[in-house]
Amino acid sequence: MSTLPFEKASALVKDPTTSPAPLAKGPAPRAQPARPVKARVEKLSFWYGEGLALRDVSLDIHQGEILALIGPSGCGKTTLLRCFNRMHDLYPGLRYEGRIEMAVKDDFNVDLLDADVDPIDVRLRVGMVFQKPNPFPKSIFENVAYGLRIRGIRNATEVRDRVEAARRRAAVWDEVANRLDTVATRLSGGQQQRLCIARALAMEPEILLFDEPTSALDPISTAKVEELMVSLRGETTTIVVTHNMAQARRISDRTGFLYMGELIECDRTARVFDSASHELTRQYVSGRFG
Amino acid sequence: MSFESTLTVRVRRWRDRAFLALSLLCLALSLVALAALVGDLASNGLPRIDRAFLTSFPSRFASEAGLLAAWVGSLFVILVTAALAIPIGIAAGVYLEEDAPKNLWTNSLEVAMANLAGVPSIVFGLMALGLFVYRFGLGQSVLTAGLTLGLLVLPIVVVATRESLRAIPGYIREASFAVGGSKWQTIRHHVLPYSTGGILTGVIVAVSRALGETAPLVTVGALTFITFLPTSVMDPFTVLPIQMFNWVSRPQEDFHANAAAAGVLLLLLTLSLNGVALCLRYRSRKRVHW
Repeated sequence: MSTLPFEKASALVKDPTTSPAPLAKGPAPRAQPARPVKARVEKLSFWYGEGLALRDVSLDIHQGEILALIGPSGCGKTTLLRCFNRMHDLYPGLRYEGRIEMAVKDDFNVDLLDADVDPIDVRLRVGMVFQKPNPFPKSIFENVAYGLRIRGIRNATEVRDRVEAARRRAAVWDEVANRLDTVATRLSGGQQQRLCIARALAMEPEILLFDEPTSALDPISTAKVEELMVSLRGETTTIVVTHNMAQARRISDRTGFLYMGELIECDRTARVFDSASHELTRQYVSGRFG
Repeated sequence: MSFESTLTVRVRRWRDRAFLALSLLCLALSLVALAALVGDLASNGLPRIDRAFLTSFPSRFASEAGLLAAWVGSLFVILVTAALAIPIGIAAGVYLEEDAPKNLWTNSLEVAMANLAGVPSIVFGLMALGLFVYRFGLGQSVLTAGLTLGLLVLPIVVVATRESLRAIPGYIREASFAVGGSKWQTIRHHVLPYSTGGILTGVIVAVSRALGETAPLVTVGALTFITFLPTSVMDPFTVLPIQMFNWVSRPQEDFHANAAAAGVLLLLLTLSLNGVALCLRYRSRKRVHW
């Protein structure tokens, strides 16, 4: 794993106020207030060419929590999500301003958006699950193993063990235990999506991004994926973009509401839904627009 | 009991049938023309093909003349052509599609490539005569012929490669990048393997075209009467279509049968190449399941 450019850049950033405590182990009770900060978005603005998509967004993500991002279509929630793994770097003409600091070790932070930080180093630590299941047209096993292989893990036993662990956690074990050679695209949509989650989990990401992970799935598959996300609470820091307010309410610890590229508010999920401080938020969560 | 069709429904039904009949007629016409051509060639040429015909050098007696130098020359030249056009064409296609920025420079490259594909082959021959034969001093050799045909078919390979790469959905690339893949890993592990079928088709079209190409080789100076086999790329050569042309332009009737026989052989060679391509494409498509 080439951590060098990553750590070099990170040395520049040091902010004692955001020093995280060691990793919290095991699922924590939902209402527990103070988790250490895992990542801090600071005055992030984003442009698609000339079009401003995010304006001065600032936001803390806590270690091991599930943060939901909600808001009407085009509000910038997916744009914000894709900043965390520098997905925007793949396309020309897109521009960031501001920082996203991630706590890498106990004592320093890295600005994920820093030009000196290689996006590959970011994506090795920040996994992503997409709206549309996008398994590779390869076998189930190879799909999950791919992230490990490109990390240079050649040891067959280690690859097998980690693939198995990821598949167990992502609940794609029982159904496909004897079909590891099956081509992944033959699976149902829900199975494909859980496979994609397993693929991301196999890399043991520090932050896991979900971009409307259940919008293409039926209710039963959706329930399984949600169950899976909840089971990651406390271990993996999770950010989920969702159109489904009920889903945000069911699974998230905190919820951020975006509107027209601005973060209107971000608070504990129960507060956002029951007693939001902004009129706009109250109107949105009560379904009066969106 | 059935519906009584209204007039407009009856008219539409009649039009449907008329259109189908017209399509079938057009198909039949082209098939008949092809069959007549191949049939005529075969009836004149097939009786002439025997072991001696394939293993003899040309002669001034039609009954003793053979194709050995021509088919060996054709294969040799095609080998050089393929060795040049396939790797360069695929690499150029991958660069243009996956890496090149979209700007004035690459746009003009694209236009130039399309124009190149439309340049008459004799012009390539003139260019090769001036450049390869005289300037580079490569002589009237297999190498010159291979380079000329390679340049001639290069645009076909490039365009086919780009088309097949473009058919790979963007979400596959994003999936690869999201697990931390580099650009090269994404191309090498996903984009190229999934588009092998289309690229192979282009390669075969290119090779078939080169196999039948005559004009540029006449310009370059292919021989028509050689009684030895080329042993290196610097040796003089002849190819099937040139030998065919030579025989057909002789006054003696017997040589015309020889020409027909050479035509049959050329056709067989092209068809078998296409067959191999079909096989390879089928197998590569079978490995990838969308």
